[in-house]
This record gives sequence, structure tokens and C-alpha cells, in this order.
Amino acid sequence: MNEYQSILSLYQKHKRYEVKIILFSCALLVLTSVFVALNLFRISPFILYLIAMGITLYFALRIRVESKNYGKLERFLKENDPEVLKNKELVFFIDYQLDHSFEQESKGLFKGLDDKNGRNNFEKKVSEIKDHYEDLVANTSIEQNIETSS
Amino acid sequence: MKLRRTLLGIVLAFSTAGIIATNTDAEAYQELYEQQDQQEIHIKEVLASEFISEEDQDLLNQGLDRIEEAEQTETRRSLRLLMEEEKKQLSQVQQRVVSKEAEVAKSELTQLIEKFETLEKKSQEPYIVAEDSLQIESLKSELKSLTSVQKVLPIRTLSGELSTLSTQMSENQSLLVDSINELKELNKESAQLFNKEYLLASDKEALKNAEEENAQYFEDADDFELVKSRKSDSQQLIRQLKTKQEKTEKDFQENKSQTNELVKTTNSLISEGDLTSEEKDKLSEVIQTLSNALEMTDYEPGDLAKNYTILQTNYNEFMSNSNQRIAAAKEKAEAEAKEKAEREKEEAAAQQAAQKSSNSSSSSSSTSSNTSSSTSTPSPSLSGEWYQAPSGYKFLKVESGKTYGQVKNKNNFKLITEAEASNYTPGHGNGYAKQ
Repeated sequence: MNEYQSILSLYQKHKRYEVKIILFSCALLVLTSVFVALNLFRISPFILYLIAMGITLYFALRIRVESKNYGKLERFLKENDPEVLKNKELVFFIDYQLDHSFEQESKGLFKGLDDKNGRNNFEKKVSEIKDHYEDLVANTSIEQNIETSS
Repeated sequence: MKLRRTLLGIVLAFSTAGIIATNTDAEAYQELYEQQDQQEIHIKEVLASEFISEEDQDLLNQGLDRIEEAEQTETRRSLRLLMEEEKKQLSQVQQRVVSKEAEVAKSELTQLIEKFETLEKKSQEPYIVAEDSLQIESLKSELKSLTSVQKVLPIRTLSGELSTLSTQMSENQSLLVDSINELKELNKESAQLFNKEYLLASDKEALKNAEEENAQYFEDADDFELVKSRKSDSQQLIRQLKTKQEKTEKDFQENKSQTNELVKTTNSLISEGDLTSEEKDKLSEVIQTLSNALEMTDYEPGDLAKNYTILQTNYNEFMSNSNQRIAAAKEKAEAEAKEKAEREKEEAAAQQAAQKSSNSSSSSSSTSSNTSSSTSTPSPSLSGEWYQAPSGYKFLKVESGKTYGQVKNKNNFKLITEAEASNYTPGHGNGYAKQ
């Protein structure tokens, strides 16, 4: 599986994130309510719900696929390149690339968004990633065509 | 942004669910606490019963303490179990309490019956008020209805009523006996009054009747108001008659002797004085009234003094009239005698003149004796109630040797000349005579 394919599978995970959280939250709410209703020992139900809430919050953070700068990226794109925002897959790709390919550099990139140079630099990086994405998409479609014809 | 929204959603969902669940849980516990409060009320009622044993008291108290401790630590299920257990214990204790109460009720009913029988015997005693006897009958029917009662309350209530009635009965009996004793005292007082002088026959009869009426209650009486009324009537009668007797006695002591004297004097005036028939009738009428009063046949206190004054006034007036008439008759008689003497004198002078020729010295002594016999004492003049002695005269009270210028009753005095009066001493003024 090439890089694009692996990122695409992560993107699929990202799309299911909210559903997972909702299902997990509902399951934990039901579980906690049943436990409270059973009244097995004397404790304030609110504490139990707080614990359940803690578990859910931990779970929500734990299964998160996008980086913690995903929101900032979205905001940047909304201001500078709204067209890209329409392609959720591309946005996820850019986030992934910034977080994994540039690693330490990505922190500096996001910090430099406040000044013009930093923004230009960031824009440049995003543009590179976009090109890379388009290449990957193109290569992937050629490969798929070859596989189909063969 | 998206992540924050998700996290916020989780917090809100769990917080809301937690708050709702906590409230529901608190309400569920509150419901249990209220049930326990109700049960506690029943338990405390049973604990307050005098028929509960010490073991049962400890049992229930321990149960209460256990639940009180568990209320803050145990789950609802445990609490319910504890409450159920407490309920069973309460039910068992209640049964034992009811059984004990029935036992006590039976014993107290026996005592109550004995108490009632004693009171019923007492109600047969003399001087028991009729109202109290009636209440005994009412209580008897109440007592009959209590024979199968398992509770002590109605028995104790009736016992209380019985005690109250017993006290009331004794007090009423004592009051009635006191009243009867007072009636007896009044009868003694009445008998003493009866034996006194100056009490009218009708009053004596009234006293006798009152005594007899009082005596009706001496053996037995059942109406306090009747006895009270009888006592009051009797007291009033005795007080009234006592006052009357005292007034009568005073009236007689002050007026009896002088009335008798005046009656005697008046009778002599009637028989000897010169009175008109109308005056005699008037005097006789007053004398008759006085005689009746003296004999107490027709008498009211003060009658003697009143009629004495009337008779005295009449007597004085009629005495004066009589004296005037007598004086007038005397003067007339004297005038006639004088006229007759003059006529005789003239006749004698004529005879003397006729005899002069024969014997001129024989008639001189007889003429002088006739002249001296014609002199007479002047009568006293009446001024108001007082007789004024004529000038040159004084009234003499023979018994005391005192002389007076004016008197009320001239018949009691002798008229003497001032020359004769010099032999006596002048008397001081009083109600009947003065200078």
C-alpha cells in the first residue's frame, strides 16, 4: 500500500470519528445509568457520571486521527484558499503531511502564521503538499487504470 | 474547533445526565425517608404507650437507631430491608401492647365496678342531691356498655367521671348537711324568738309554720336549691320578726305606762268632763285603738306611740274644751247665784225696810256673810297648749311642793294665791310645767 492509500485509510477513520464518539458516549451513558439505577452502593450518581465523562473524553482524545493543529489549518485555508476546504480529503492530507513530514518544523510553521513571512512560508508549504497530493492522486489513478487493463 | 465542540458536547451530555440522575436518586431516597418518618411516628406512638415492655422498647429503639445510621450510608435496597424488618417488629410489639392493654383494661374494669358499687351505696345515704343520683343512673348505663372493651381509655374516662361525681356528691352532701344544720339553728333561733314577749299571735303562727317547713328537711333532703330557698325564707322571716319584736318592745317600754295612765285620765275625762258626744266618741275610738294595741290584737310597731300622741292631743284639746265649758257653766251658775242673792237681798231689804219699823237692827249680820261667800277663784287662761295661771295666782304641784306659772294639764296642779305660793319653792321648767 503506498503513502496515499495509507493516508486515505486514515481519512476514512477520521470520517467515522464523530459516529464512534457518539456511540461510545451513548453506551457509557446507558451503562452508567443502569449502574446508578441498580444502586449497588451509596455514591452520588453525579460522581459516576463525571467518571464516565472522563473516560469518554479520554477516549475522544485517544482515537483522534487529525493533528491538534487541524483547526488552525482549516482557519488558514478558509482565509487564504477556500477552494481547498471543499476537498476534505485534501485538507486531511495537508494536516497529515504537516504533522508527520515536517514534524518539528510544523510547530514553527503554525507559530509563524501571525506574521507575513511565516504565512508566506506556510502557504508555500501548503502549496507543495497540494502538488504532492495531486501527483499522488494522478499516479494512483494511472496505477488503477493499469491494474484494470491488465 | 471541531474537537472542542465534540468535547463540550460530551461534557454537557454527561453533566446533564448526572444532574438528572442525582435528582432522581435524591427523590427516591427522600421518598424512603418520608416512609420512614411515617413509620417512626407509629413507632413513637407505640413507644409512648404505658403497656409496652422494656424489651420491646429497646427493640424498637435499636431498630430506629439502626435505620438512622443507615439512612446516610446504605443503599435504598438495604434501607427498604431494614424498614421492612422494623415494620415486622412494630407489628409484633403492637400485638403484645394490645394484649397487655386488654389485660389491664379487664383489671381496671373490675376496680371500676367496685368503685361504682361503693358510689351507688353512697347515693342511698340521706342528703344526697337528686341530680347526683340521676348521674349515677347515667353512669350505670355507660358502665354496662364497657363490659367487652379492650381499651383502657373509655374505662379511665368513666373512672375519672366517677371520681368527679364522687367528689361532687360528697361536697354536695356536705353542703346540704351544713344547710340543714343551719336550718336547725334557725329553728332554735325561731323558738327563742317565739318565747319572747311583744310578738303578735300571727307572727308566732308564721314562725311555727316556718319551723315545721324547716323540719321537713331534717330527715332527708335532695334538692339543694329548695333547702337554700327555705333557709333564706326562714332567715328573712326571723330577721323581720326579730326587728318587729324589738320595735314593739321598745314601743311598749317607752309608751305602755304613760298610755295606761293617759287612758285612765281620758276615761275620767270622758266620765267627769264636759264633753260633746262627738268628742267622747273620738276619744273612745282612740282609746279602743290603744287598748287593741296594748293587747296586741291589732298592732303594728309604733302604733302605741302614734296613738298615744293622738290621744294626748285629743285629750288636751278636749280637756281644754271641757274646762272652758265647766268654767262657763260655773260662771253662769255664779252669776245666777249672785243674781239670786241680789234678788234675795233686795227682797230681804224690802222685808227689812218693811220690818225696819218694827225691828231695825236684826238683819245686819246675815247681809255681811252673804257678801263674803260670793267671792270666787278666777280660772286660768289657755294659751296654745299651756294654761296660764291668773294674775296673783300660781299652780302648785302638791306631790313635789313646786310652784309654776304655766302648765299643760291644770288638773294635775292646784291653783293657789301668790301669798300662799311664797310658802313653796318655784319649780324648774319641764315638758309639762314652766314659770
